[in-house]
Amino acid sequence: MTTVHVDVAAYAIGSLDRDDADDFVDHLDTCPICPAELEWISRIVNLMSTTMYAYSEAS
Amino acid sequence: MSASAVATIEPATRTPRDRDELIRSLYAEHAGPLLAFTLGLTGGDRHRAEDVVQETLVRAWRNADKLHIEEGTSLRPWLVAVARRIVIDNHRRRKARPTEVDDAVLATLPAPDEIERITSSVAVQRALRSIGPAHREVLFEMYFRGGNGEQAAARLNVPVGTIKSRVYRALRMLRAELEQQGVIK
Repeated sequence: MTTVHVDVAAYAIGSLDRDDADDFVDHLDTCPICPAELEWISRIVNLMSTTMYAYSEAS
Repeated sequence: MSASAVATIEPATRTPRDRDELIRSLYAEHAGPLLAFTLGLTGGDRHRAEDVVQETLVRAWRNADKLHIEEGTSLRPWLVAVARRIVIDNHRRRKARPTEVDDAVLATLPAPDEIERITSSVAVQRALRSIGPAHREVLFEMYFRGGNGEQAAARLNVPVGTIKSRVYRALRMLRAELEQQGVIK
């Protein structure tokens, strides 16, 4: 995949498949942008993880 | 039965077989994606990442009687949060005592602050309501239900590329909203 930047969000929420996640981890080592992106997204994901018991919505 | 299905059974009414099934299906559904996720947190160190996944699932097993989710949601967020905590704690512990790994330390790790958790939970739910249905449903499919991009694309009938950019935008909107609420700076 060429536009791997966009995977940062899916990676942070743990929804990338194994191969895509491996690719993203490789990308993370060399990308000047994604590590900082991952940092703020991870903070949001941490906050989101507090809602798992309460949040439910059919679609 | 999937982990999600067993996890929706009221813990008090679970049979021992349900409990075994819960753990078995947790491995089947989440061990792979969790490892992929943890690899990033350990800087690509597969051995350490595997240890973290193992520990995460052991904690799930120890807490099986407390793990309960509503139908249509996933244990993935809980597992991801636990894995992240383990990595952080391991890191701190390695810095504090470079050579030994003490099981007793694991047993006495402080639980996340309950009040803080509830406050965050309320703030996040308010923020989720504010971001609009299209972005909320993509987060629901990918995060709360624990699907991948292809599954979410199929369920929502939009291209995978759209799903990926939408989940990113949804998180940006959440951040803006949580900043406005003063939850984060």
